Amino acid sequence: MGPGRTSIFKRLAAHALALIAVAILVSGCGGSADSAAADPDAPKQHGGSVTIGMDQEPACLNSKIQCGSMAATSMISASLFDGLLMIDGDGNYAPLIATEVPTKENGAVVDTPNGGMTVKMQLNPGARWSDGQPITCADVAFNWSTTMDERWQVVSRKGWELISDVQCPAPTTAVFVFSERYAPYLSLVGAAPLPKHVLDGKDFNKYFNEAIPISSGPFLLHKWNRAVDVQLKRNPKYWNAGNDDRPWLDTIRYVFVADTNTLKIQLRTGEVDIISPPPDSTLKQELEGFPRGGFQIEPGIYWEQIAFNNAKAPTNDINVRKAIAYSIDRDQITDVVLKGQVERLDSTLLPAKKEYYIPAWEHVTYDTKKAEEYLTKAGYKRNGQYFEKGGKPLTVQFKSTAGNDLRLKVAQLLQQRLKASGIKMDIALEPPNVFFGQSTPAGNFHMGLWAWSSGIDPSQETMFPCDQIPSEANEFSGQNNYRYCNERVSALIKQGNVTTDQAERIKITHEIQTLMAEDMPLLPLFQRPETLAYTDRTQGMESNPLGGLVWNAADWAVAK
Amino acid sequence: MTGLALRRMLEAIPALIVVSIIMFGLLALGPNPLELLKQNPNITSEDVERLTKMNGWDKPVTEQYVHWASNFVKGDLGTSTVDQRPAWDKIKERLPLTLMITGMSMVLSLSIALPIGAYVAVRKYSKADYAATLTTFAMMASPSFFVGLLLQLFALKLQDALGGTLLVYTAGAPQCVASSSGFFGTMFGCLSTPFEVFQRLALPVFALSILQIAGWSRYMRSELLGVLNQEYIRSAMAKGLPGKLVFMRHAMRNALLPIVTIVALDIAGLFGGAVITERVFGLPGMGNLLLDSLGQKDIAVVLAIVMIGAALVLFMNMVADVLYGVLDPRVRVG
Repeated sequence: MGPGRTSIFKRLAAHALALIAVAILVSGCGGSADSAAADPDAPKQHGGSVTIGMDQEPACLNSKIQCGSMAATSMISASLFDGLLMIDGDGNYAPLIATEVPTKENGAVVDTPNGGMTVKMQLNPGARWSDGQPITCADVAFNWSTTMDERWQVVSRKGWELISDVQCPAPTTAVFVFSERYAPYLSLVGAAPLPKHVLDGKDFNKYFNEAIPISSGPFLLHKWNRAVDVQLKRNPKYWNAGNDDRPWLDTIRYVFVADTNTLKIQLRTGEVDIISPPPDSTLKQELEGFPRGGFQIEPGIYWEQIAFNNAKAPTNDINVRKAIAYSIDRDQITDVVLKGQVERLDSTLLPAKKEYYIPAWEHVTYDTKKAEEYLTKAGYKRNGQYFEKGGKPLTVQFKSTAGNDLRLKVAQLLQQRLKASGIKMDIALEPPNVFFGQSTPAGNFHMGLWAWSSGIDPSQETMFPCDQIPSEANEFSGQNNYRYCNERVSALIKQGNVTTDQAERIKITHEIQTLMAEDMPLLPLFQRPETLAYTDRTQGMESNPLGGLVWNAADWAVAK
Repeated sequence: MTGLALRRMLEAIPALIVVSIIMFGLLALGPNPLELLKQNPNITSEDVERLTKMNGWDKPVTEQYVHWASNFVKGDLGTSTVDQRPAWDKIKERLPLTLMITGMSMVLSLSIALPIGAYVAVRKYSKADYAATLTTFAMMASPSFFVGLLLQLFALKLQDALGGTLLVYTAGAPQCVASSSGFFGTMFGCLSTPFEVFQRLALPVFALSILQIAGWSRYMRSELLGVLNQEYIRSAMAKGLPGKLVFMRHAMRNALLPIVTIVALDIAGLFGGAVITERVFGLPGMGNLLLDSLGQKDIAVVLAIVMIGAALVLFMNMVADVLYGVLDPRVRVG
């Protein structure tokens, strides 16, 4: 080629080198992730900021309506709105704006002769909104009337429809009038009040979506830079500041990164201070290898279970269900898949529910002999690898959600174990909205693997009673996808739900658990571990799965 | 020329209608994402049914389509069912970032790929050619998420090497894209903070460029090789024209012709964003918006993105045809 060619390339190379040189020069001004390590016992100081990395950006900021139904919105609004009650570090209800937790024993809960009940709550007279207005019973009543207003896209009205009135005999006294007795009343009456003086007359489907100008919690919404971050700033007039003048932090910043691997790298570089990554087998190991931070792993509120279809052959046979249950090594699952981060779960209630919890499924351990006995009882005979009836091998269809590595691993372990017991298991993994939207409500599975989230109340009224089986008659409503029907259990669940006497309710709940473990409509597996990981410049991090990630954000601080 | 453009535009209308019917059908007949809410036992089927009705998803699909199409024709792209905001508003706030990364990556890729392609073409079968071939094949074979992860790990190691100073961020958008000052305001805002933009976007732009560099440099090499063997190049050299002139005016100009078509179509693709790269680097661009909206059955937003994208592809196809005529007099239509 001609002589000009070389000079063009030389010039290009020179430009490229110059660019690299500029990049290296400016690198001196880069952000610093060099953080001062915090001594957990060091006295906290006011000021500073933490960044929380979340896997999703909220669609809007109003956690009560449809667009706010994602976890991201609840987390942000948890720092903006204090409830009448809170869930403390031990997983118990504790008073926040209210002065005490209402119970029958302290006289705040009274059964009325018409079959209903009243719950009386005293509000802390010092409780204030961030604009200085007192938080009163009017705000508590406004929350109820807003929840029930047909115009608003409120996500859940469960239980709220049983409240016929919220009376305000005094500004700091709220009386909830229930038309029926409702044992899980604390989850309703403990909710955060809504600022009537701000919201009255506004469009609740829109008004709190973009910005929230007020707060009853330790932080205020500073601004939402759509697609980049949500910034909270200290509420200087926080009513619950205490002697320490809480909150300690000046700002909390939420950033949104959908990819978990990226979030973990960001924690390592110090771009974010706090993450709560979803569980996987190697997470604990990875975090242990992270030199500049700490982490806490606890059993979370989501519990995984093997659901049986109790209405479809062959799992409609209790002996087949039991044979499968005894073929599953649940300890192996927690050991292999979760590297022992959590233990197996033996109830449909979480151990955190204390008195209500009994390990009813404890006796169901890996026992191939027992499995064989149950299969023989069910009329199956072993022929080579598999048990057979009528010349057909015993085959069950297993379904779960695709794209979840943890569930895939569990499925593979189950398949191996069931094969060893002579049961053929076909695996089908479906997109989550197909699995939850079509397969499970239509009963199109023998064994399903999914998780329920569990609140602090032991009520399971939508999951197990006979009338909650999705069918054409009830237009496929109800969440009893197991198609499990034991009249005694249904009656007990209904009874437990209207029993406001705690001791009595505990007895009922125990009986429900025992009966269900005997019927084996499902096999509880484990609670998904919940991980809180943070850089070592943060102070005050304390995991509380039931209370949520930011439950104690007022006590967070950073080392200077 | 005007006749050609007009004819092409009319031809595009049936294509757009078919695209809209397929996309609408797939989304409207698909499962209801609100069912996922039922994992929480506190959210009952009645709650889900009530919200489904409020979203209008209980109406017949044809009725939903006619409603959407009649609004679309009038220029109303519809409202998001997720947050009740106009679909165009959501697109508008995501577009600057996407155009920034895809645009920068296109400029970077072109400025690297074309010289490399040209360089190895004139040194066919040299060591440099073999090295470039091997490298570009390796680049083509690397999935974006893997390249992204490697680059993030590189940033982490670089931070350790620099004693804790973070030169480039591993994820997240620059603050300037959050400005609410409209499309041009955002773009100009970002010009005033070039260093932050560099820190935030260096890795994703580089990750995105790798595939393009590999592809385009191969095109450039093969096109130029073809041209360099032509008689007219030999004639030009033989009559004593300077090599630089022959290379730039005769060889490069002819070799660039097919590249124009490829790049023109890729420009239309810029609008749709880079789904995987945006995901890995936590960038709130069009790709992420499309992915999120698909998961939430946000028909208005998905359809708006798809329709604008389809229209752009058809339009850029037309532009490529016209440019062809400009660059190559033989193709000019009388």
